[in-house]
Amino acid sequence: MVEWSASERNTIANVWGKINVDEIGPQALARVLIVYPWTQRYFGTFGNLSSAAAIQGNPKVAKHGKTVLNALEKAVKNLDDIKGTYFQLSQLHCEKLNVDPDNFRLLADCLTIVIATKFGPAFNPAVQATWQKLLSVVVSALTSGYF
Amino acid sequence: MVEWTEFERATIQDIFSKMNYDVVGPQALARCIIVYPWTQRYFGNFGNLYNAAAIMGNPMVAAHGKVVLHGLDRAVKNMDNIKATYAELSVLHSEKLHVDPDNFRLLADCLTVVVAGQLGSSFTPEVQAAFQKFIAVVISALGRQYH
Repeated sequence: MVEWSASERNTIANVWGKINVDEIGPQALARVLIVYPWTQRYFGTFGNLSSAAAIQGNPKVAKHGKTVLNALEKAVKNLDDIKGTYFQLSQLHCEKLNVDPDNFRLLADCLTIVIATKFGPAFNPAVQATWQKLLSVVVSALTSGYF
Repeated sequence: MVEWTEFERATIQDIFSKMNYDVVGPQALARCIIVYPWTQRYFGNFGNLYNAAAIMGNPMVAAHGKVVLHGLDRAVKNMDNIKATYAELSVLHSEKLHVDPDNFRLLADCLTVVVAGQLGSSFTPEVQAAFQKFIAVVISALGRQYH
Protein backbone atom coordinates (compact mmCIF):
# COMPACT_ATOMS: atom_id res chain seq x y z
CA MET A 1 0.00 0.00 0.00
CA VAL A 2 1.22 3.49 -0.73
CA GLU A 3 2.24 5.48 2.35
CA TRP A 4 1.16 9.09 2.58
CA SER A 5 2.58 11.44 5.20
CA ALA A 6 0.27 13.91 6.95
CA SER A 7 1.97 16.68 5.03
CA GLU A 8 1.35 14.94 1.69
CA ARG A 9 -2.32 14.38 2.56
CA ASN A 10 -2.66 18.07 3.42
CA THR A 11 -0.93 19.19 0.26
CA ILE A 12 -3.15 17.03 -1.92
CA ALA A 13 -6.35 18.22 -0.20
CA ASN A 14 -5.12 21.78 -0.52
CA VAL A 15 -4.25 21.61 -4.21
CA TRP A 16 -7.46 19.75 -5.04
CA GLY A 17 -9.50 22.29 -3.10
CA LYS A 18 -8.14 25.09 -5.25
CA ILE A 19 -8.65 23.36 -8.59
CA ASN A 20 -11.61 24.32 -10.72
CA VAL A 21 -12.36 20.97 -12.32
CA ASP A 22 -14.48 22.50 -15.06
CA GLU A 23 -11.59 24.71 -16.10
CA ILE A 24 -8.54 22.53 -15.52
CA GLY A 25 -9.95 19.30 -16.97
CA PRO A 26 -10.65 20.73 -20.43
CA GLN A 27 -7.29 22.53 -20.51
CA ALA A 28 -5.30 19.44 -19.62
CA LEU A 29 -7.04 17.26 -22.20
CA ALA A 30 -6.73 19.94 -24.90
CA ARG A 31 -2.99 20.17 -24.25
CA VAL A 32 -2.58 16.42 -24.60
CA LEU A 33 -4.31 16.51 -27.99
CA ILE A 34 -2.22 19.49 -29.11
CA VAL A 35 1.20 18.58 -27.72
CA TYR A 36 0.93 14.83 -28.45
CA PRO A 37 -1.17 14.80 -31.62
CA TRP A 38 -1.22 11.01 -32.02
CA THR A 39 -3.59 10.90 -29.03
CA GLN A 40 -6.28 12.28 -31.33
CA ARG A 41 -6.75 8.72 -32.58
CA TYR A 42 -8.79 8.03 -29.44
CA PHE A 43 -11.23 10.81 -30.19
CA GLY A 44 -12.33 10.09 -33.75
CA THR A 45 -15.94 11.00 -32.91
CA PHE A 46 -15.09 14.39 -31.44
CA GLY A 47 -15.34 16.38 -34.63
CA ASN A 48 -12.94 19.18 -35.44
CA LEU A 49 -9.49 18.63 -33.93
CA SER A 50 -7.65 20.10 -36.90
CA SER A 51 -5.82 22.91 -35.09
CA ALA A 52 -4.92 24.08 -31.58
CA ALA A 53 -7.71 26.66 -31.75
CA ALA A 54 -10.23 24.05 -32.89
CA ILE A 55 -9.22 21.69 -30.09
CA GLN A 56 -9.41 24.39 -27.44
CA GLY A 57 -12.87 25.42 -28.64
CA ASN A 58 -14.20 21.90 -29.10
CA PRO A 59 -17.13 21.26 -26.73
CA LYS A 60 -16.65 17.47 -26.72
CA VAL A 61 -13.04 17.92 -25.63
CA ALA A 62 -14.17 20.25 -22.86
CA LYS A 63 -16.86 17.85 -21.69
CA HIS A 64 -14.54 14.89 -21.69
CA GLY A 65 -11.85 16.86 -19.89
CA LYS A 66 -14.30 17.50 -17.06
CA THR A 67 -15.25 13.79 -16.94
CA VAL A 68 -11.63 12.75 -16.63
CA LEU A 69 -10.73 15.28 -13.98
CA ASN A 70 -13.83 14.50 -11.95
CA ALA A 71 -12.66 10.89 -11.91
CA LEU A 72 -9.39 12.03 -10.33
CA GLU A 73 -11.42 13.06 -7.30
CA LYS A 74 -11.92 9.37 -6.49
CA ALA A 75 -8.20 9.09 -5.87
CA VAL A 76 -8.04 12.28 -3.81
CA LYS A 77 -10.81 10.97 -1.57
CA ASN A 78 -9.43 7.41 -1.36
CA LEU A 79 -5.69 7.87 -1.01
CA ASP A 80 -5.36 4.62 0.91
CA ASP A 81 -6.81 2.43 -1.81
CA ILE A 82 -6.25 4.07 -5.16
CA LYS A 83 -5.61 0.72 -6.80
CA GLY A 84 -8.95 -0.73 -5.69
CA THR A 85 -10.72 2.52 -6.52
CA TYR A 86 -9.57 2.44 -10.15
CA PHE A 87 -9.78 -1.26 -10.86
CA GLN A 88 -12.93 -1.04 -12.96
CA LEU A 89 -11.78 2.09 -14.78
CA SER A 90 -8.53 0.28 -15.54
CA GLN A 91 -10.38 -2.64 -17.11
CA LEU A 92 -12.57 -0.23 -19.06
CA HIS A 93 -9.55 1.60 -20.51
CA CYS A 94 -7.81 -1.63 -21.41
CA GLU A 95 -10.56 -3.95 -22.64
CA LYS A 96 -13.14 -1.57 -24.02
CA LEU A 97 -11.32 1.65 -24.92
CA ASN A 98 -8.00 0.01 -25.88
CA VAL A 99 -5.95 2.95 -24.58
CA ASP A 100 -2.18 2.49 -24.61
CA PRO A 101 -1.27 3.05 -20.93
CA ASP A 102 1.66 5.27 -21.91
CA ASN A 103 -0.97 7.90 -22.61
CA PHE A 104 -1.94 8.11 -18.93
CA ARG A 105 1.49 9.59 -18.23
CA LEU A 106 1.06 12.14 -21.02
CA LEU A 107 -2.22 13.35 -19.55
CA ALA A 108 -0.68 13.42 -16.07
CA ASP A 109 2.18 15.56 -17.40
CA CYS A 110 -0.19 18.02 -19.06
CA LEU A 111 -2.30 18.21 -15.92
CA THR A 112 0.83 19.04 -13.91
CA ILE A 113 1.73 21.78 -16.37
CA VAL A 114 -1.74 23.34 -16.28
CA ILE A 115 -1.56 23.41 -12.49
CA ALA A 116 1.91 24.97 -12.64
CA THR A 117 0.59 27.73 -14.94
CA LYS A 118 -2.28 28.43 -12.55
CA PHE A 119 -0.47 28.23 -9.24
CA GLY A 120 2.84 29.86 -10.23
CA PRO A 121 5.33 29.89 -7.34
CA ALA A 122 2.79 28.26 -5.00
CA PHE A 123 3.45 25.08 -6.97
CA ASN A 124 6.79 24.82 -5.24
CA PRO A 125 9.11 21.79 -5.46
CA ALA A 126 7.67 20.06 -2.38
CA VAL A 127 4.11 20.49 -3.68
CA GLN A 128 5.22 19.31 -7.13
CA ALA A 129 6.81 16.20 -5.65
CA THR A 130 3.64 15.29 -3.74
CA TRP A 131 1.39 16.01 -6.70
CA GLN A 132 3.53 13.91 -9.07
CA LYS A 133 3.53 11.10 -6.52
CA LEU A 134 -0.28 11.14 -6.52
CA LEU A 135 -0.43 11.12 -10.31
CA SER A 136 2.08 8.31 -10.63
CA VAL A 137 0.06 6.20 -8.17
CA VAL A 138 -3.07 6.95 -10.22
CA VAL A 139 -1.28 6.07 -13.48
CA SER A 140 -0.04 2.85 -11.92
CA ALA A 141 -3.54 1.97 -10.70
CA LEU A 142 -5.05 2.64 -14.12
CA THR A 143 -2.41 0.41 -15.68
CA SER A 144 -2.81 -2.38 -13.11
CA GLY A 145 -5.88 -3.92 -14.77
CA TYR A 146 -4.01 -4.39 -18.04
CA PHE A 147 -1.96 -7.42 -17.13
CA MET B 1 17.17 17.72 -40.00
CA VAL B 2 14.46 19.05 -37.73
CA GLU B 3 12.03 21.46 -39.36
CA TRP B 4 10.96 24.50 -37.36
CA THR B 5 8.02 26.72 -38.22
CA GLU B 6 8.31 30.50 -37.83
CA PHE B 7 6.04 30.29 -34.81
CA GLU B 8 8.26 27.67 -33.18
CA ARG B 9 11.45 29.65 -33.80
CA ALA B 10 9.91 32.86 -32.51
CA THR B 11 8.47 31.10 -29.45
CA ILE B 12 11.79 29.54 -28.46
CA GLN B 13 13.73 32.78 -28.94
CA ASP B 14 11.07 34.66 -26.98
CA ILE B 15 11.03 32.28 -24.03
CA PHE B 16 14.80 32.20 -23.67
CA SER B 17 15.35 35.90 -24.23
CA LYS B 18 13.01 36.65 -21.34
CA MET B 19 14.27 33.89 -19.10
CA ASN B 20 16.05 34.69 -15.88
CA TYR B 21 18.69 31.98 -16.07
CA ASP B 22 19.86 32.59 -12.53
CA VAL B 23 16.40 31.72 -11.20
CA VAL B 24 15.12 29.12 -13.66
CA GLY B 25 18.27 27.00 -13.83
CA PRO B 26 18.61 26.45 -10.08
CA GLN B 27 14.87 25.85 -9.70
CA ALA B 28 14.73 23.25 -12.45
CA LEU B 29 17.71 21.31 -11.09
CA ALA B 30 16.47 21.56 -7.49
CA ARG B 31 13.05 20.23 -8.53
CA CYS B 32 14.65 17.37 -10.41
CA ILE B 33 16.63 16.35 -7.33
CA ILE B 34 13.58 16.73 -5.06
CA VAL B 35 10.91 15.11 -7.24
CA TYR B 36 13.18 12.32 -8.52
CA PRO B 37 15.45 11.69 -5.52
CA TRP B 38 17.53 8.97 -7.18
CA THR B 39 19.13 11.69 -9.29
CA GLN B 40 21.05 12.74 -6.17
CA ARG B 41 23.49 9.95 -6.95
CA TYR B 42 25.04 12.24 -9.57
CA PHE B 43 25.76 14.95 -7.05
CA GLY B 44 27.60 13.12 -4.29
CA ASN B 45 29.99 16.00 -3.68
CA PHE B 46 27.30 18.68 -3.47
CA GLY B 47 26.97 18.55 0.30
CA ASN B 48 23.60 18.71 2.02
CA LEU B 49 20.78 17.31 -0.17
CA TYR B 50 18.92 15.92 2.79
CA ASN B 51 15.52 17.52 2.23
CA ALA B 52 13.71 19.93 -0.08
CA ALA B 53 14.75 22.98 1.93
CA ALA B 54 18.40 21.92 1.94
CA ILE B 55 18.35 21.26 -1.79
CA MET B 56 16.72 24.57 -2.58
CA GLY B 57 19.27 26.43 -0.45
CA ASN B 58 22.28 24.48 -1.68
CA PRO B 59 24.73 26.81 -3.49
CA MET B 60 26.31 24.01 -5.54
CA VAL B 61 22.89 23.00 -6.85
CA ALA B 62 22.21 26.62 -7.75
CA ALA B 63 25.57 27.05 -9.50
CA HIS B 64 25.16 23.85 -11.45
CA GLY B 65 21.58 24.70 -12.39
CA LYS B 66 22.84 27.87 -14.06
CA VAL B 67 25.56 25.94 -15.91
CA VAL B 68 23.02 23.48 -17.29
CA LEU B 69 20.59 26.15 -18.38
CA HIS B 70 23.28 28.17 -20.10
CA GLY B 71 24.18 24.95 -21.91
CA LEU B 72 20.72 25.14 -23.49
CA ASP B 73 21.69 28.46 -25.05
CA ARG B 74 23.74 26.67 -27.66
CA ALA B 75 20.65 24.91 -28.93
CA VAL B 76 18.64 28.15 -28.86
CA LYS B 77 21.32 29.78 -31.04
CA ASN B 78 21.75 26.78 -33.36
CA MET B 79 18.27 25.40 -33.82
CA ASP B 80 19.14 24.10 -37.27
CA ASN B 81 21.94 21.93 -36.02
CA ILE B 82 21.26 20.90 -32.47
CA LYS B 83 22.63 17.41 -33.03
CA ALA B 84 26.12 18.60 -33.96
CA THR B 85 26.01 21.37 -31.37
CA TYR B 86 25.69 18.82 -28.58
CA ALA B 87 27.99 16.06 -29.90
CA GLU B 88 30.74 16.87 -27.40
CA LEU B 89 28.39 17.34 -24.46
CA SER B 90 26.80 14.02 -25.33
CA VAL B 91 30.16 12.27 -25.23
CA LEU B 92 30.94 14.00 -21.92
CA HIS B 93 27.66 12.88 -20.33
CA SER B 94 28.00 9.31 -21.52
CA GLU B 95 31.70 8.57 -21.22
CA LYS B 96 32.85 10.78 -18.39
CA LEU B 97 29.81 11.57 -16.26
CA HIS B 98 27.98 8.26 -16.86
CA VAL B 99 24.55 9.88 -16.74
CA ASP B 100 21.63 7.61 -17.59
CA PRO B 101 20.01 9.41 -20.55
CA ASP B 102 16.53 8.91 -19.03
CA ASN B 103 17.52 11.66 -16.65
CA PHE B 104 17.61 14.23 -19.43
CA ARG B 105 13.86 13.80 -19.74
CA LEU B 106 13.35 14.21 -15.99
CA LEU B 107 15.29 17.47 -15.92
CA ALA B 108 13.49 18.62 -19.06
CA ASP B 109 10.12 17.93 -17.41
CA CYS B 110 11.11 19.96 -14.36
CA LEU B 111 12.31 22.80 -16.57
CA THR B 112 8.94 22.76 -18.35
CA VAL B 113 7.12 22.96 -15.02
CA VAL B 114 9.27 25.93 -13.92
CA VAL B 115 8.74 27.76 -17.22
CA ALA B 116 4.99 27.04 -17.01
CA GLY B 117 4.90 28.44 -13.48
CA GLN B 118 6.70 31.59 -14.57
CA LEU B 119 4.75 32.25 -17.76
CA GLY B 120 1.34 31.33 -16.35
CA SER B 121 -1.43 31.72 -18.88
CA SER B 122 0.98 32.82 -21.61
CA PHE B 123 2.35 29.26 -21.57
CA THR B 124 -0.45 28.36 -23.93
CA PRO B 125 -0.87 24.88 -25.44
CA GLU B 126 0.79 26.06 -28.68
CA VAL B 127 3.73 27.51 -26.78
CA GLN B 128 3.96 24.33 -24.71
CA ALA B 129 4.04 22.21 -27.87
CA ALA B 130 6.87 24.31 -29.36
CA PHE B 131 8.85 24.25 -26.11
CA GLN B 132 8.46 20.50 -25.65
CA LYS B 133 9.49 19.88 -29.26
CA PHE B 134 12.63 21.93 -28.72
CA ILE B 135 13.42 20.05 -25.50
CA ALA B 136 12.80 16.68 -27.18
CA VAL B 137 15.32 17.56 -29.91
CA VAL B 138 17.87 18.60 -27.27
CA ILE B 139 17.36 15.35 -25.37
CA SER B 140 17.73 13.33 -28.51
CA ALA B 141 20.97 15.14 -29.38
CA LEU B 142 22.37 14.63 -25.88
CA GLY B 143 21.59 10.93 -26.06
CA ARG B 144 23.08 10.50 -29.50
CA GLN B 145 26.65 9.56 -28.66
CA TYR B 146 25.70 6.93 -26.11
CA HIS B 147 25.54 4.05 -28.58
